[in-house]
Amino acid sequence: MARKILVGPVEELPTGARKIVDAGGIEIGVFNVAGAFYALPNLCVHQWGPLCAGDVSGTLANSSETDWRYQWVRDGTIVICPWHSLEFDITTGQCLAYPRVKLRRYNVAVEDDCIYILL
Amino acid sequence: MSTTIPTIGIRRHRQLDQLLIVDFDVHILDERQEIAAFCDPPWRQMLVDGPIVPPFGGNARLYPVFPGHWSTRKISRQTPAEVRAALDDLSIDLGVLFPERLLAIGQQPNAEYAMALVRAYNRWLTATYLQETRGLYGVVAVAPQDPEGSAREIEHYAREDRVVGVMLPTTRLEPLWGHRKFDPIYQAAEAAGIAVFYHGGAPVQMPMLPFDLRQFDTPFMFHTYTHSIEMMTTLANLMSTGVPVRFPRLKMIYIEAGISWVPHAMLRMDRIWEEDRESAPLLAERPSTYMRRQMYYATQPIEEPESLADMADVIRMIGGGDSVLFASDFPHHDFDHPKKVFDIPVSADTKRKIMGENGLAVLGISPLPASEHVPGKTLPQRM
Repeated sequence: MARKILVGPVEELPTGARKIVDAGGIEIGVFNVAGAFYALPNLCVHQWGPLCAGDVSGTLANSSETDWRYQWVRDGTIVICPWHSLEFDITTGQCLAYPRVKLRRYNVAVEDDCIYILL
Repeated sequence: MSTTIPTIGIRRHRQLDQLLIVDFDVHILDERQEIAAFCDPPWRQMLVDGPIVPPFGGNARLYPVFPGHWSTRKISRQTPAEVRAALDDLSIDLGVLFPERLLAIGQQPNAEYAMALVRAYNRWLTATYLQETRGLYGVVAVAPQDPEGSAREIEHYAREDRVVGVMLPTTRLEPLWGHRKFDPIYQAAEAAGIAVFYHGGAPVQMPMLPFDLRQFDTPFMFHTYTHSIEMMTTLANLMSTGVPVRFPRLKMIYIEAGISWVPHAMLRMDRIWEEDRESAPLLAERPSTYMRRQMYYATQPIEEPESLADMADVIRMIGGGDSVLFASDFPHHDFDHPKKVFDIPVSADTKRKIMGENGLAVLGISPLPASEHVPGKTLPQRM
């Protein structure tokens, strides 16, 4: 049976906010991105840094469609590890630098106006 | 916008608690408010409320920076106890402390002010961090603008137990550290039996030896090469003027450029020496011989190839690990967790040397008293 870890009341985690919770020996970061909740391990795959404590921001991109000019994209969906700045998409766990690196994602549920992680 | 690097969340790794770890690069924040009380007049007043107080006001780089990305991050102000606690979390027993702001001392045009700053730093360092807790060691700051005054600083502080070297920043200075005008600094360090630490740093967007950022469009581009080219330029200059020949007992340590530049420098200099030896005739042997005999290379930022075995090859090319020293550069944005270096597949003996034993030998500390170990470590007894 899945374990339910209480994160907190929904109003504690407005859009753009994040909370790191201790889920019995592992730390998990829960994020609100545009009204939806996502949960990622608070452990960077690079050098074991506290990934979820990093700034939530966007990133720069350029492509042939913009004649290789810079664009600011994915604002509010990228968490940047505070140790060495590896960027991850909060909604998918995808590492922006390495296509093969993807973080595990935990299921999140909302019941009675409270957020839970399902382990 | 700035974020301090959190120290909570650093995980102790059990393997690291079974060996001694000596860290050749830990930074403390020498803010003007911190060192003002230790500064001579009239400069003290200027540090307290001067309107323009170099080198404490920004780094003069002009790259655009977006929210949350690396250049926005700053070292936090930390007490000696906080630095010690962070090193404990990283299993680091002994840390050699370096300043932050005074890495830019070389570009200060006023020699008297430059000398006042390094004197204030040395007083502050020895009165605070080196007194208050275990396992924190430091280096004397000097001013390239005043080699004789700097030599007196070295003579004065080399008697202190926890002063283990002299810091020579490799950026924003002219001439380079091989110039004969710096002989008094090398004489004082060699006589005192302490090492010199060539510490790399990021240069500014103006013509400034040994690295000029004009035409470097992005942080990616400049960060790729600045430190390693500073090291190679400084090293070639030291060879050219024969510093290791003229100061044969001097130990020279290169900090903050990784180690992959070292095999390149050895191979390249040996090749050129064959052809151009007569222009540096005081080199009696191949440059790589001096590089293995008297010079040491700190690991950070350790290269991270897909196969870590490639780094074992780099270490073998440098000479098998006797010249390689672990450094973390904590708490900077590109610091290394010791486990990243520990994981390089070399022999257990070489691991122990790189992580700590080489370092103790270079610093002339043997053995490190048990009272200075990270609490909770179980170090195997060695014959």
